[in-house]
Amino acid sequence: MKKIHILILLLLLISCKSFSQCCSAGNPLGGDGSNEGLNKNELKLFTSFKYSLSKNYYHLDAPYDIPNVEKSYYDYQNISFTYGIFSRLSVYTELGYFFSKTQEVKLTNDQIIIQSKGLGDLGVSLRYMLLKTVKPVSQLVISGGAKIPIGAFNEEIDGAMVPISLQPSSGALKFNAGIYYSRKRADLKFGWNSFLFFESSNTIDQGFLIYKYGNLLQLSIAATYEIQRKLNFIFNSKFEWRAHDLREKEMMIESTGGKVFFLNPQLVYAFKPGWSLIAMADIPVYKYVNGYQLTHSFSIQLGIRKSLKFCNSGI
Amino acid sequence: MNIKLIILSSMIVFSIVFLSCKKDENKQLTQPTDNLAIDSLVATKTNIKIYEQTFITAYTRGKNLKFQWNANHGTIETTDSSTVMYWACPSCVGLNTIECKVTNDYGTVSDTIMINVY
Repeated sequence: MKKIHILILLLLLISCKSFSQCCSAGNPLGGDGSNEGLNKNELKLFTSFKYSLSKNYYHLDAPYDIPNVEKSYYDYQNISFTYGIFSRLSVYTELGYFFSKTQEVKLTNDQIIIQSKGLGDLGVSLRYMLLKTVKPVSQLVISGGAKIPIGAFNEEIDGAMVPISLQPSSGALKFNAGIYYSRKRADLKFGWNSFLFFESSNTIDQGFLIYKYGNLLQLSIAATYEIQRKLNFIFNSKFEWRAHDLREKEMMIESTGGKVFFLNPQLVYAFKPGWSLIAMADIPVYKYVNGYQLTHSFSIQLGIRKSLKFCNSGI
Repeated sequence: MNIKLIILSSMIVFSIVFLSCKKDENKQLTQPTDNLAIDSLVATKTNIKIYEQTFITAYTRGKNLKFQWNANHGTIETTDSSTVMYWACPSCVGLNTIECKVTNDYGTVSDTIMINVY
């Protein structure tokens, strides 16, 4: 048991140089890492703080030396609600605020800091439980929704608009669909879940800016382990594939899109009935980018979750 | 009762968010006159490599001018209000448009310049 604890701590402390597309515009996928459906009249509130850092340029699957960009990072606060409106149907909403979305660039001898802040996109989706069983505890959930660009997309510094990649909002309406399955036997400490997510973006058409984000496909597979009655560890692995972005006349932007494989360890501590503290990290362990791209080094997220039940409703 | 309160308060929160985040409407452009005009936008280079810089200057007429710069791809850094530095990262390769809008009491005028990033 002690060895498992040490292994978990080590995994959480790893900060290997790795990747994902940080500099790409838009909003992180929020939430508490769970995509489960809720029973009728159940409510789950979650808020978290996320820090993400990108430092290294990659060309294909290898580091590439472009000395100009020193680093890019953001501080992001997210809040989400999940509410069971019927016995099998839940609604999920999320909204986030960037306290800062920053890029530090060194051109000649001067260091330039470009920074913005503001509201991100509003996420809304419906989750429908196709299947739910008690023994074993399992769920099969399909979801569909949208990300609505209500946030700041016109941030400027001294009269100069900050680039699209540093705007808090993605500026584009996006539609997504997902399928989630989880399974755990009550008499075992191990369980697992998996999640397949697809997102497609509308084209931004604002004056001279014609831009379409590439489609995103994400597959997660997670093993869950109950360390103690109140403490759970989730060892999540995530594969992300993003297609090229397009600009005017549907011209493909070569240095966008790619493939990333993340480890995404999570600790969930239920400190009071209905209350949980959640810590998670995104650690990219393999990255393949199209062209030349600044890549994600790591991100950490700390959050608190409150679950409420307004009246009895059986599973 | 609790549920209704929560749903109602969520709707109010999101309504406030929607209303407060309404984007600035595009300023109506006016015809150039001696009181307000952009005579030209001039760049030190119009063909630049990735992360190479070019300086763009707006030559204008009029008083109490307020400048607003915008690029469809790439980054603009103001050096003074009428001159900006422009550069672009690898995802901005191509022919990019940089727009300058100048505003004073007489209205708003705009001009563009194209910079090729390779």
